[in-house]
Parts: sequence; structure tokens; C-alpha cells
Amino acid sequence: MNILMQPRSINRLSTGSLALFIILASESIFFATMLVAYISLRDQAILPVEHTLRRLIIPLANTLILFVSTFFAWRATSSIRRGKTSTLKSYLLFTVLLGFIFIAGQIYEFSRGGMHINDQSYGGIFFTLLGFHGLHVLAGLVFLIINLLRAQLGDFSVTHHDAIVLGTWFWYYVVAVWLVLFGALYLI
Amino acid sequence: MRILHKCAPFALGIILSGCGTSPSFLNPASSIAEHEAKLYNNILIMALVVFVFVEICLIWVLIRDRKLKGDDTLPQQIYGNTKLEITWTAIPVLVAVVLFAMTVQTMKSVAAPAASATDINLHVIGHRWWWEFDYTDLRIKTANELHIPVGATVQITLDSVDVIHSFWVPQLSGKTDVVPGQTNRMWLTADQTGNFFGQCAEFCGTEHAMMRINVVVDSQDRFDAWVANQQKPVPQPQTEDEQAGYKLVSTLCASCHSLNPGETETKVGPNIAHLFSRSTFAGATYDLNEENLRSWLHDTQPMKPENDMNLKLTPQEIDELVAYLLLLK
Amino acid sequence: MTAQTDIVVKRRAPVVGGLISWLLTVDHKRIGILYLLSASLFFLVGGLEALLIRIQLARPENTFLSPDTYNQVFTMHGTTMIFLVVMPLAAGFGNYMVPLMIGARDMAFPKLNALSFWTFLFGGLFMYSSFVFGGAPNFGWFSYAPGTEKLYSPTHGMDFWILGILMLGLATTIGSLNFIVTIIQLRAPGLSLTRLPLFVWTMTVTSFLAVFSLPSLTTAVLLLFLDRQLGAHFYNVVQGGSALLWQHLFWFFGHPEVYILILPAMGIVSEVIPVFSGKPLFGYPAVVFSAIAIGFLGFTVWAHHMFATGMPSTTLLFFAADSFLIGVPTGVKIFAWLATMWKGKLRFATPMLFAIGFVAMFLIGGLDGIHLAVVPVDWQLTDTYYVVSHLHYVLFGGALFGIFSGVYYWFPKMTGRRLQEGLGKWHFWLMFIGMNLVFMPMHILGLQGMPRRIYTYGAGRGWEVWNFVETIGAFIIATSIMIFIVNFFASLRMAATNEEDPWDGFTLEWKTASPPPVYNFAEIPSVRSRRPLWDEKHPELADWRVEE
Repeated sequence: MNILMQPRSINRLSTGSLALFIILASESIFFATMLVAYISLRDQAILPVEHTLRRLIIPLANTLILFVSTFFAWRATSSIRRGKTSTLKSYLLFTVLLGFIFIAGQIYEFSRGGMHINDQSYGGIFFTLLGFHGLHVLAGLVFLIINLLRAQLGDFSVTHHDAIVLGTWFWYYVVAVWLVLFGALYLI
Repeated sequence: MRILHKCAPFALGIILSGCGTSPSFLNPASSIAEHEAKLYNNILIMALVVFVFVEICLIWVLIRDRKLKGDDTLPQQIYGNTKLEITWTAIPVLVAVVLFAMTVQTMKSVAAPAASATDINLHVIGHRWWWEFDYTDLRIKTANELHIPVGATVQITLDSVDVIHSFWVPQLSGKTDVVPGQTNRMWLTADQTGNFFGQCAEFCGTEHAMMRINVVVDSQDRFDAWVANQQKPVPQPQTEDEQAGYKLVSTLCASCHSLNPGETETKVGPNIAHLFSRSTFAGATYDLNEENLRSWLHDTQPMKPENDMNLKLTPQEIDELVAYLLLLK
Repeated sequence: MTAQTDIVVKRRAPVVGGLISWLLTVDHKRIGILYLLSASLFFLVGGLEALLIRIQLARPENTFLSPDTYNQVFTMHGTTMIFLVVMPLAAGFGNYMVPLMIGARDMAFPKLNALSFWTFLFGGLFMYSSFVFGGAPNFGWFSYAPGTEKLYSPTHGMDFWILGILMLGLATTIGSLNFIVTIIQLRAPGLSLTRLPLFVWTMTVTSFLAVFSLPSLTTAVLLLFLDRQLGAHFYNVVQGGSALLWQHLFWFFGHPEVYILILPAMGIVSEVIPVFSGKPLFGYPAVVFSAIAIGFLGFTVWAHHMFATGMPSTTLLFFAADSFLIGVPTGVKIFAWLATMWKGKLRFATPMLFAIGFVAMFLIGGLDGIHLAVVPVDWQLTDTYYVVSHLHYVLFGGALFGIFSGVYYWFPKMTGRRLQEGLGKWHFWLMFIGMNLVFMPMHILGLQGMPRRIYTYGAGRGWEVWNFVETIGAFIIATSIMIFIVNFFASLRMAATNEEDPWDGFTLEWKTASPPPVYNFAEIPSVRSRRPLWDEKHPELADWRVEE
């Protein structure tokens, strides 16, 4: 071993996953404080839009899409654990495609009118929460696409695939946040 | 302990030299401020005991245990002492319990009396940067200068039309924030007559420093006389100048300043129906006299930069305005 | 082994000149120095702002500064000292010392480390550029909405503040993440968490506090930014917003922030006092536990900044009780430091003087803080100079004294030269006297009813004398800082002595050259106790005999 290198950690935990967990914990506080803002504002604001069943169609569909995408993300990880790079690639591709469909749905939601960011405080918090979640989905997609490209270049193997695991964890997180937001914004 | 109790405020009194002139709650003029001052003093004594004990220990150790020249022996390596550590954890916990009990007790003592005991209902409205006082039952509106009778229980509701302010007259009571969109409550009482200084205590923008309060505590008779005067409608202008001034006031000033003593609408500027019954103006920062009023009307900005009042008046208009405003006693 | 070491010594990087190598560096020691130097420059600016404030308040009805300039100056003074001075100074020491103290070769993510520094520097400069672009932020470091809405603060100052805070928050989050991962992953063999030097422990707790509290600030300023720029109404009560939402979000960050500022200094003091007493830290487990307890409790007391906002009395009492409890772990620390000195052989070198100054002054900041946790007393004292006094006893007498202790303590490690003791003592004593002249009378002014953040006051309320005394004190502090600057440059010009271990230290940073080579340790040290160097120097009294 090169004497100038840092020797391997005394822990078995991977440095990358530790970092990711800390980031996600920090992100959770961010979303939690946003939700607190949401809860404290929704009592005071006049809701500009009633949540009729029809309005729920796209969010519901989006929830389903994300659900299915987590299945593919999970399959992608288990493929590479068994060294199957080709199935890894197709599962990653499916996950990414579903992610884009979700984003498309969200863009439609945002643009179909009826509510604006400056409609009372409620419009603001509604769009801010969904907007920041959307940004996280995009970040997750960038992560997954980079993983896909690296898989194409043959970067991953049975023993070397930390980035795939981290990407999947990030994706799970994004979906988990969506479930909370869906519950808070559309169901309660 | 009793002696200490008596000495601490006394010692502080020396420190607060000119205490008589300071708007300090340690120089209380109400039962509320008195309770708060008593609690402050009691805790100060406790804190001083800890302070003196720790600092004496520290200085003693510093002198006793300094390394002497030529002494190369190693000190005894002491790693800890569980009993000692438990002791100095447990004692602060006990102190915390005592502090909590003292807090609860004082909060009970200064809690607002029941609504049935109310003598005066007052609505305080914070503006950038002045105070509006609305005596809701008496149909009087005034600004910056608050009159209350000695011994009365004044129930106050506080609202803001813009940013957060904080209403504070130290010798009468602690502060309560004035929050837009939320009506806060507090109460006041005064057990001696006199003038008491107060000030906005929450930073509220450029002229936060110039948002003061003058509380005039009167005997009941004088307060009643004041009320009777405040309820009178504005006098009619007589001379030519006064008439011209009245015209100016009702065209130029009336959009922001009401001339109706019982005005119900919240205006941008203070009610001026009885302007010259007050001793100060501009957020209780300038003495109200003809000279100051003239320079204010000439240009308000040097006196209170960035306030909302921007007028360009000719010297003649100022003469006419002052002639009329002087009538508003 | 020796052969390898030789190779290493030959390969040791040439004493690199040139700015470029500093711009591109990912070496934790250089990044540490960059942090320390930039924060020191901001410190001079923030200090200058303090002097402007003091000149303005020296006399009643002074017109030295216009109201708006005064408001900008105090806003930037607070923001600077908190975000651009104390936090990055701690980050600087952390960067330099944490890897050395845990026997690592660098931080876990050296490139992120550089990113974190440059984000911080850019954020700070960005915020200061507002002075050029139409006015600095002017609503205080806690920028209470709705006063910070566009309607009430129409200049771009607040936008600069918001974006600057976002950048600084990002920098701190990345930096903290790096500290946590480094400390968990890269400790030398045998350096278990129960043997970690106290400074490393406090940096750990600080980093967790930052990672978990900064998101709340991020939320607060993001919402404000959306209000100002996109017409949202989070803090606009007329449109269903809430004026107090800002305060809850801000103080949920703001109170842990206080411990982010003070804990690293407590860590430094916990390193310095044992070394200069020749004894181990008294009750190490209790001190570590108290730091963790302070961290946890720090998240549960935020509303004690809001006692006057009209909360129900049960809420008030909960937060009061909680705030009292913080006194317990704080007390544990103070007693532990005293007991460490007890029957030691105390050497009063400048690092020790500042550490003792910390104990003496921080005690005052802790005790006057009790008054502010007692609700009815707080109703009188909040938003007065009493609070200003309290926070400066904590952050100046506490954090800054701790940091100066660290500066004198670790300067020889960083430069191979000691700071001159004579000037150091002048610096300490003038600063000690100056700070008490400035901040002790603030207690009195607060009791006399002087609110904070007022640019002017009238004569005749007994405030003139104390304000004048404070201004004198401020200039004494300024003088002490000048002496430090002279000392700094004079000491740098002296020939390097390169003492590895000038103070007879206990921890691993003293086990390598001064300044340390790029790779820190030729051989990763292994550790058997809390004081690895003590064990080496006094095998017969080695700590591991006691600890194991």
C-alpha cells in the first residue's frame, strides 16, 4: 500500500453511504420544516381549490408510477449484486423513464391553472413543496442517468457498484417524500 | 440571606445611578413591574452566589496550583470522581426546579385579572413608527401619549397594521409583541402618578428608535377631565388664517389624519383632533410646540428620516396650518 | 519501514509558493488556513462595524451615522460575526486539526472540502457586495418577517442576505458532512469514540447540529425569497400568511446555532486546560456527554427567544423549564474545567490565559442567561441591551476567547513558530479589560430600559455614561486586536524553530512535524488511550493502564 494513502477505514460502513444517509437526514429536516409551514398556513389560508376526486387523478397516477419505479430500482440493485450488467441497464432505464413520466405529470399539474404561487399563502406552500420535491426527483434522475451511462461503459461489477446502491437509496427517499407530500397535500 | 436580599437591589441602585430618571423596571410603578423586579433580584442573588463561588475557586486554584520555577514533578493524575460529578450535576437540577417554581409563582402574580375587573379597555395599534391608542369604550383616539388613571386596571389588545412591534413601558409592565394578524393581550396598572417612558422594543425598521411612548398616569379626576376634553369635537376656525388652515387640514391632511376624536377607521397617521393636548409628537420624540411643529411642517425628513409624511408647503401654508392646529387643544 | 519513510521525506512537497497552488489545494491543512485567514479578514470588517456602532451610540442623539446606515451596519455586524467569523474560524481549526488529532491523512472528501471553503468565501463576499449594489441588508441578523418583506424592505439588501445565507448554509452543510464522515471513518487504529479528543467530539456534535438545524433556516429564507421575488405570501398575514412562522423556523435553527458557535470553543478549552495543567481532563465521559446533551437540548428550546410573542402560558413554561435544563450540562463543563486545574501544575502561557478567560467570562454569560429564561423577567429584558450583553459574554467572552486560545495554542503547529508571549499577554489583558468595559455596562443599560437596535436615544435616562464607557471599551478591544496583528506578523518573521511539541501536548497533532507534511503522518499512529502522547512520554503513568 502506498504510504501516502489514507488506509481503509476502521469501520465496515461505506463512506459513501454514510455521507448519503447524513444528506438524507438533513433533507428530511428541510421537508419537515416545509411541512410544518404548510400545516401552520393551511389553517389560516382560504383554500383556492377544492380537492375533488377528478383533481386527484394525476397525483394518484403519479403515485402509482413512482411505486412501480421503486420496484425497478430495487431490481436494478439486485441484478448488479448478482453481476448481471445487462438486466441492470434495462431496469435502470425503466426507472428513469418512469421518473420522466412522473415529471411530465407534475408539469401538467403545475400548468393546468386554477392555482398560482401567489394565490394566498396556500398556493405558495403547495407549489413550493411540490417544486422542491420535483427538483429532488430531477436530481435523482441525474444520478440514475449517470449510473446508466457508467453501466453502459462497464463501470460496475459484483464487487464494485456502490453508486448503484446509493442511487437506489436516493430514489427510494424521493418516493418516500412523495408519499408523505401526497398524503399531506391531497388527502388530509 | 435576608440581608443579602435587601442589599442586592441597593447595590444595584448605586450602579443604576440616576435610577430615578431611568425607565427601569427595578424602579417599578406598578405591581406587575414590582413582581418582575423582585424575581429579577432573587435570581440575581442566586446567580451572584454561584458567580462568586466559582470565580473564587478559580482564582484560588490559579494562585495555589501555579507551576513554580524549577518544579518539574508531575502533578497527580486525577481522571475523575463520580460522586463529585453526580453532585455537581444534581445541584443544578435542583436549582432548575427552584427556578421553575419561582417562575410559575411570579407568572401567577402578574397574570391579567378577570375581565370583570376591567376599568379601561384599550386597543393599541402599532404603526411604522408610532403608536395609536384607541380607548374603545370612551370613543377616544390618541397617539403616542397614553393617559390612564392611577390604580385602574387597563386591559389591552394589541394589533399591528404592518410589521412586528413590541409594546413596552418598563416601569409599568413587561413587553408584549404587537404581531400583525394576531391579536395579543396584556394588561397594565400603575400605582403612582407621573410620566413613564416606553418604547417599541422589537426592531421594526428605519425609525425603530423613534417609536416611543409617553404614559401619563393621572389622578382619577384629572383623567376624567382629560377624557371629557378629548371627547369634544374640534373647534370651528375663527380668523382668516385659521379658516385657511382648516381648509388645508381637511383637504391636505385628512386623508391620513382624522379630525374626528371618535374616528373608528384606522388611518395612516395619528388622530389630530386634540393634537395640542399632547406634549410630544412624531412618535413621542419631539416636544410639541409651535417652533418644532413649524420645522416639522417645513420638512419632516431631517427630524425623522424616512417617515411617511412628505409635504412641500409654502411658508404661508405653514402659517395657516399652524394657526389652526394650535386650536386643537 | 524506515526505507519507506525516507522516500516519503524526499517526496515531501516543495514549499509551494504561488497563489495557484492555494486556489487549487484540496489539502485539509491549507484549506484550514484559508478558512482561518478569510474569517480573520471578515473579523476585522465585523470589528470595524462594531466600532461604528459604538461611535454612533457614544453620545445621545448622535448623527455620526444615518438611521439606515446604522441599521445596515448592525445587521452586517451580527451576520458577519456569526456566519463569516466564528463559524468559519471553527471550521478552519476543525479542518486543520481534526485529521491530525484523529491520525488521518486528510478529510474524507478533500474536494468537497475545497468546495465548501470556496462556497463560504463567495457567499460572504456576495453578501458584502450589497454595499455596492444599492444598500446592505438592514433588518438585523434575525431578519424578522414581515419587516423583511419587499413592501417594508424594498432595497436589494435582503435579497443579497437571503442568497448569501443560502450559500453559507450550503458551505456549512457540506463542511459538516465532511467532518462527520471523517471522524466516523478515518480514525487511527485504537482511537475509539471513547478516546476521541474533546475538540474532535465538539466538532462532531457541532456538525450534527449544523446538518440538522440549517435546513430550517434554508426553508425560512427560501420562503422569504419566494415572497419577495415571486409574490408568494408565506409571511404576509393579509393573504393568509403568518408573521410568526419566520420566528419559529428561524429559531429552530437559531438556537442550535448558538451551540454551533460555542461548542468548538469549548472543545479547544477542553484541550488547552488539561495540557497546561499537566493533568487529564477531569471526568472525560461526563464532559463528552454534556456536549451531546447540549446538542440535543439545543433543539428543544427555540421558543425561549419568543416569550413576548403572545404564547399560551403552558408553552412558555415548557420552554422555560427546558432552558433551565441546559444549565446542567453547561455547569458540568465549567466544574470539570475547574477540577482539571485543581492541584495541577498550571503554566500561564497565552493559550491558557485565554482558556481561563473563557471559563471566567462564559460563566457570566451562562448566569445572566438564566434571567432570560425566566419568563416574567424576560418580558422585561428581552430585546434590551441585557440580551446584547448576554450574547456577547457567550460569543465574545466565550467563543472568541476559546478561538484565540486555539490560535495561540496551534499557531506553532501551523507555522513552526510560537506567537510572542509578551505581546500575547498584552493582547489577552487588554481584550479582557476591554470586553468587560463594553459588555458589563450593557447589563445595566438593559436594566435601565434601553432597547437594542436603536440608532439614537435621548439624554436624561441615565444611559449616557454607560454608553460612553462602552465606546471606550470598544477601542481598548480594537487596540488589543492591533497588538495581535503586530504579534502575528512579527512572529511570522522570526526564524522557524519547528518544535514538534512546544506545549508538552497530549494529542496526536503534536506527534508530527510543525508544520506537518502534506501526508500528516509518515506512519499512521495507533492509540491506546485518550492521551497518546502522554502515554509515550510517561509509559509508567500511561493512561491506558487506568482506562483499560
